[in-house]
Amino acid sequence: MSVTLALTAGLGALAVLGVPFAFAIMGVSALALVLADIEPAFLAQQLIAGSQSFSLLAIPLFMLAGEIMSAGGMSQRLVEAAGTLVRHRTGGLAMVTVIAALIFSAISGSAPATTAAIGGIMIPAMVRAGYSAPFAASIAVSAGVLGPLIPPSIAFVIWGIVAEQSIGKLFLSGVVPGFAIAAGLLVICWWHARRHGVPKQPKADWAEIRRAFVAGRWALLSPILVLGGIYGGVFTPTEAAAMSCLYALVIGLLVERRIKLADLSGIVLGALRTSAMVTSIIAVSTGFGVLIAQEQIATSFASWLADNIQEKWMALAGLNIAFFLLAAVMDEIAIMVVLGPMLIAIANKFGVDPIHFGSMIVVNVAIGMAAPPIGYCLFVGMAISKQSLASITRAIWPQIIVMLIVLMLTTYIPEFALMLQ
Amino acid sequence: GDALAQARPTIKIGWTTSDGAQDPYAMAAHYFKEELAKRVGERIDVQLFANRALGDERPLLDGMRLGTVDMGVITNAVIAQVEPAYQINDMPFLFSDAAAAQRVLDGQVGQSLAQRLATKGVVNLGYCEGGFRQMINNTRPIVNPADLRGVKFRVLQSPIYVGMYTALGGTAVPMAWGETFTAVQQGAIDGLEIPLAVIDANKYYEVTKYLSMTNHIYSMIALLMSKRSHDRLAPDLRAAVQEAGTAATARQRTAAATNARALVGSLAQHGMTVNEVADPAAFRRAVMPMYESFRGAIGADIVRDALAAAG
Amino acid sequence: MRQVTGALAFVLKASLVLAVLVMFAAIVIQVVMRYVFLAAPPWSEELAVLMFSWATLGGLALGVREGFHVALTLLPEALPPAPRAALGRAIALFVAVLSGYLFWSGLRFMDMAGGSFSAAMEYPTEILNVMAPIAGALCCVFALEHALLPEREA
Ligand code: NA
Ligand code: NA
Repeated sequence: MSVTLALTAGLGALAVLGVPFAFAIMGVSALALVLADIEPAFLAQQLIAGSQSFSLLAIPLFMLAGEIMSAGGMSQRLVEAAGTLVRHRTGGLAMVTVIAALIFSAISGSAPATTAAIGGIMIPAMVRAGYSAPFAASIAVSAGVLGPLIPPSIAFVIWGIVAEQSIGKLFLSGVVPGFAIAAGLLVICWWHARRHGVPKQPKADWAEIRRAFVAGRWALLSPILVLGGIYGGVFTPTEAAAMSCLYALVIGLLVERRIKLADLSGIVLGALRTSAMVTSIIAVSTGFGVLIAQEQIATSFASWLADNIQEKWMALAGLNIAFFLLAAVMDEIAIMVVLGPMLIAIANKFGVDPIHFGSMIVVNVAIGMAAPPIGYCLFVGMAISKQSLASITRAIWPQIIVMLIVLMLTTYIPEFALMLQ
Repeated sequence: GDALAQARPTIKIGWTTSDGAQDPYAMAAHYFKEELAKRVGERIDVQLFANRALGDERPLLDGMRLGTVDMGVITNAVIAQVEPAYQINDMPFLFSDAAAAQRVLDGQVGQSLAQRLATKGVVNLGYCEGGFRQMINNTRPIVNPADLRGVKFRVLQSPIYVGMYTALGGTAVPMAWGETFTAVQQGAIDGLEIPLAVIDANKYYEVTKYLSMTNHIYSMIALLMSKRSHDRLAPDLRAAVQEAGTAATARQRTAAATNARALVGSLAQHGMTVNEVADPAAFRRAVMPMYESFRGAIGADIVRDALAAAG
Repeated sequence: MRQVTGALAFVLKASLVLAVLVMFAAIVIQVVMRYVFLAAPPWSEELAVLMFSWATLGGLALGVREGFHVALTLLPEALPPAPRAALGRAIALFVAVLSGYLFWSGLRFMDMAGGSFSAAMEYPTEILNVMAPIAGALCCVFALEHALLPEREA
């Protein structure tokens, strides 16, 4: 059996049998080591290397901030305050999820962290308001996609470095696709609530709005603190995750006093479980990514594409489809880094504007985070909602279609992504 | 396919920066491939992996020790984590110019460093050039050491870099590379210190105003090979690999120097204000006490020989 | 066996809580020191990343014990109870064997890449590298528990 076959078909087979992804990826990597007679220490070495990244710290810390805010009731009051504004509309509370994620994306560069922070608050709130749990989870999962599209964005920074393009310009190229996806999700919220008759809530009067905003003032201040901290130059996006934990702790322990020190270990463990699901897959994917790169599977595909396709639109479609399929079995960030140089070579051959190409890649990366069967937003949403992959998959397909439409717009109308340049 | 692959050894070379024609790491790898082909033709298959495809620098270097990575182009500071004597190359204001650095690295000191690294399972094929590190910031041009006061510079997480800014009276902020661009843009830090090629490749001219040609640290990047991969080769191929490494290093140094001159002009055109320092000796005097404190970690003989040879 | 794995899990959870709290504290100190005192400590980021490594690798092991790792559940969900339980045991056994391999791989790695130091704190990298064999051993024990005593899942 060849190494390529072990890595690809082997992974598929183990995953279908129900082996957890982390161990399926580790298993085929170990098999490849045996088949290709590579030093077995590689497995441990790459696992360690995959866990040594400062930017990934944002994942457990944003999860922790979400857990603290939930435990202290801050998230509950945030939802209530926002709810007084739109809850009387059809699909109102689901819309709050999308709008909150859009705002949160301006402080978070990471898709799973966005799903964690907003989903941790909104999924239970939506379920209480009468939405089905799978739909509530699927909205939080798809709203997470806004994280890397609205600046700041880890994905654009990585692509800017791989492609040697202006990170500032790349950031701007994600804004319009990001807002377009948000708009599409709002329409789905309305359509879903109408179709399923999710109960509208009574319109709040001014007194109630005032009460809700006063009660929720500490929670409502937190995005302002984080945004202000980042744009005021006090801390970096990863540090912002720790600062929002600190803020939530101070409010919960000292100001509102709804959290006791004894609750802390339970809160931390809750955040750690959700975070470990995501980060353990990232850690095992590192060695897998290196083995894939060495096998040059992707290189062969890219050169085949370059040799056999003459039309620009077909090449772009081919790249999009290949990227989307690959994102189903591989870490999106790893794909960008591993395949970046080849993708750029192909884009240059067909004369694609490099900033436009970057926005197409990152929109695709972002969708991959939510699209089943593998995606970090998806995993986070599953963990928060305790829903199975199958049930979220059934609920999320309209959102994925909306995102693919935005991907088409981004791909074939360069002005769409480049509008703000 | 497999039988042929067995007969023809493969050398996979990894590095973490781009595959651009101007990239000092990419140049070292490409020149090595070309020089080796000149000597052995098709007998060895050299494969190039840019952009971290084989991993970050520390895992690449560990991989060479394990024999899972054949070759890599690695930054000096990372090599120093495995063999502390390499810290000598990062000592600030040690080399007055590239010629001085090359003289030291091609002589006794370079040989001694290579021998020490060989005991850790890694063969050094050549000391290439990443270009001197320069300071860029948004507060003021750095002309004298006093200009550093109150300016927050992002540095590598290494005691030498922190120590240098402390010795000069400045403020060092150790920060992950991935956070740095946004941090400068948003003003969490005022500037950073990097080689010219890195300023250009990462578009730092978009977010930073002043480029001060401090030449504070000579940025050595080494063309390294796993001893296990090296010893697997037939003796004549091993000799060819060493020759190709030497030839590639010479070509890389020439090209890197040419690029550095062009880069200063190009960065100025992108709107950076470029200045020279008034008196390099003033900077060197300020950091001299550091040489004492690092003598133990680096090795007294290496520090003595390097200072003597650098002149 | 139950008592042993229970005690192991307790220690693991305590170490994970500690790791997350230290990671959090290190970054808060970093921000405060930089902003208020204009002097960020050189160790904070490296300490935070070291703790993150344990949160990830220790978390991998905790996930085996608590069964929270993400998996495609379409096939198992479609099976009747008896074959489904058998498949669960088989998967647990697979994870145990693989984790044993990780344990051995980790010991080899420690042996081969020893004697080096981290960049900032200059801690011996064995402190980091030993996490791989420890995580491998813990995953193996917890997976064996599932393979041999599967009734706890029900
Ligand atoms: Na964002
Ligand atoms: Na996906």
